Amino acid sequence: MIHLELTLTNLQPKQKARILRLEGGFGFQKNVRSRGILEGKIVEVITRQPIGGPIVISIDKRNTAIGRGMASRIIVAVG
Amino acid sequence: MDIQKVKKILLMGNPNVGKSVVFSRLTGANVIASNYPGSTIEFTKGLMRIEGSKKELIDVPGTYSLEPTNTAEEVAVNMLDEGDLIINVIDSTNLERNLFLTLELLQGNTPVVVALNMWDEAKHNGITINPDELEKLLGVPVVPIVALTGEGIKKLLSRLKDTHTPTDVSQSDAEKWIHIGEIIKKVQTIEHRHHTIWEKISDVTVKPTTGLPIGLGVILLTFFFIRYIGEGLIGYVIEPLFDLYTPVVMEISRAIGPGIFHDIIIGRLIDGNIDYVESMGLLTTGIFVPFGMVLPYILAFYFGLSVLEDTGYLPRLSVLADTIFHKFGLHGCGIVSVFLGLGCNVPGALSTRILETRKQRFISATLLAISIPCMAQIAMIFGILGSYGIEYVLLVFIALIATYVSSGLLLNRYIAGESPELFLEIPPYRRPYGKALLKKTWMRVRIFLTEAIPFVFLGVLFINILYAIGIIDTLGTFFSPVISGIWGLPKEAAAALLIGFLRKDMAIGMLLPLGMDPFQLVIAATVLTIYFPCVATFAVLVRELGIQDLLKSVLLMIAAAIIVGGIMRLILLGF
Ligand SMILES: Nc1nc2c(ncn2[C@@H]2O[C@H](COP(=O)(O)OP(=O)(O)OP(=O)(O)O)[C@@H](O)[C@H]2O)c(=O)[nH]1
Ligand SMILES: [Mg+2]
Repeated sequence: MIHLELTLTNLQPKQKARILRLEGGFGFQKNVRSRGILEGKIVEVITRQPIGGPIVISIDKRNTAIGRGMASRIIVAVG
Repeated sequence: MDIQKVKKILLMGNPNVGKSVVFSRLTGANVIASNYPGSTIEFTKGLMRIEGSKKELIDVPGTYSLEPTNTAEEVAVNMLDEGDLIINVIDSTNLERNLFLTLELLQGNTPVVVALNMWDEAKHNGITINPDELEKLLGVPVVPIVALTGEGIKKLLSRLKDTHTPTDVSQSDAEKWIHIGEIIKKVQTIEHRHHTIWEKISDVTVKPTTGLPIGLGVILLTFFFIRYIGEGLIGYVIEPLFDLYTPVVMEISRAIGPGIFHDIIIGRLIDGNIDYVESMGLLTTGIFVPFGMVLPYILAFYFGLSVLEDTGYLPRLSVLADTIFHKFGLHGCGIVSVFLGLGCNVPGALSTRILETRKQRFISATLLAISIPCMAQIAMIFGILGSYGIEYVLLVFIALIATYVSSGLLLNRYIAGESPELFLEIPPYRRPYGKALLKKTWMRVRIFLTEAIPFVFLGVLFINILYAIGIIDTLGTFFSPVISGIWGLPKEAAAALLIGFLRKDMAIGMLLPLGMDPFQLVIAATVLTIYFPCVATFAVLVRELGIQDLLKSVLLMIAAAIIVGGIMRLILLGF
């Protein structure tokens, strides 16, 4: 099986991926996980706001808006 | 545990799980509940009875973990030591994530009882949770409830005594997540459901191509709704009522006869008649401004706001506005302060607590104080300027928006500190309940009535005294270099600026007798918004910003008022 490792910012709307790991400090990781963004979860991108705006993702049917800087520290795998 | 020994009970949980609804249900006291994370930013205490004894119940802001990321969450975490028992409210449609805080709470030394709220929605979404199994795994009582209808609340109360001080478990965060994974596997099954119409609407309203035009439409619609209802109430309810009231006041006026007493109670008669805006008596202007001019718009505004809040539209608007608000050093959540501030600056200033950094809170609060007029003030601007034509009202708003934007750009540049990115949970759309909407509207209107009217009365008294001792003239002369020299207004406007500290709505009304042309009125109304917040907002800002930052903020307000007023004078009046 071929895994393509990407960050959340690389995903296009309607694309789904599995969260592999989080990169960043302890506080960042804790904050992200406590919102339900966990390793192993399937994440779908709903939309990306223009001009570097936040990305809206859906995990377990729950939507969260997350800035691109944070999203770029969330590593996912497609396929 | 011995429930008789419990004095204080805390309601804790993730944001937007229904804690405030539970609180209202248990105490009968009303608190604001809204369909977005971060609606409660202060703790609220209330009383309830369990088995005959009185307990204090405390509604706490929501938090995702015990590591606070903003001031509201800090309030929640600081409350932790206060409670003898914690009711941990959980969103059943989102069990996994919610259990993290539960496990953190179970690591403390306060007994916990778990309330599985939103049980109705979970059922509806095909989510089945076995509460008995969950109870066994957590080792504390678990009770499904529907806070909105009250289902399960009695059972919840009867189970409080079955909890106990947690036994000391120390788990790392990683271990907690593994533990949660195991729990979820055992207690939860999810039936696959197709996308509902609401989920589709949710996507459409948050995608920029469709979401932005919809957002603009919603804002315009809300605006016209408020105006339509406000004007309708004034024309069909308020005016007929005051037509009945006028002869009564005239009778009282004759009975009192001329003198200082008459000036305070009835005010000055204009051509032998009462002028409800200009007379400045307690029974005339003091009644008419709050009830006749402001209340109708306040009613309409808060009803509209409640609909936006309870459906869950506001967080979508936050996402759409995020890019713009970043230019001001804020992020999308800044729009919540704007919306609440348009009702009243006090809750607007408090809502800056959902922002993460001091820079964001400073900018958000300062921009609010500088350029967001409250509904009472807006109503008066409509009342006074509307008769000259809606374009004059529009001018005030254009000036204020331009002020907001340019101050925001400048503050972002010169205020040190971080502006973190948006990280916001978007709740599902919910159907607002008619009764809840009306109750919430009434709660806020009641706050207006009880807190604004004393100030209006105080203002009327104050202004009469000031005129009687002739200080207004002195003040006017003293400030005339700014008032007349820079803004091009008559120096008597000093009186309105003075009363503006107490009530901005009354201050706008006081501009009317000065015989200004409509452009001067536009300048005066704008300057009155910018130069300083009303005393109620000021008091909140002292608390939220601290003296030092507040002083900075006040200097910015005064500078903005002088500059914006000066520019408007050049454009509208020439030299
Ligand atoms: N369907 C359903 N909706 C509920 C229930 N309980 C609360 N709600 C809704 O959920 C939303 C959030 O309720 P709040 O009481 O404001 O939540 P909170 O936990 O106090 O939120 P914060 O103060 O932001 O932390 C509101 O729109 C409520 O009407 C429930 O049992 N069922
Ligand atoms: Mg609340």
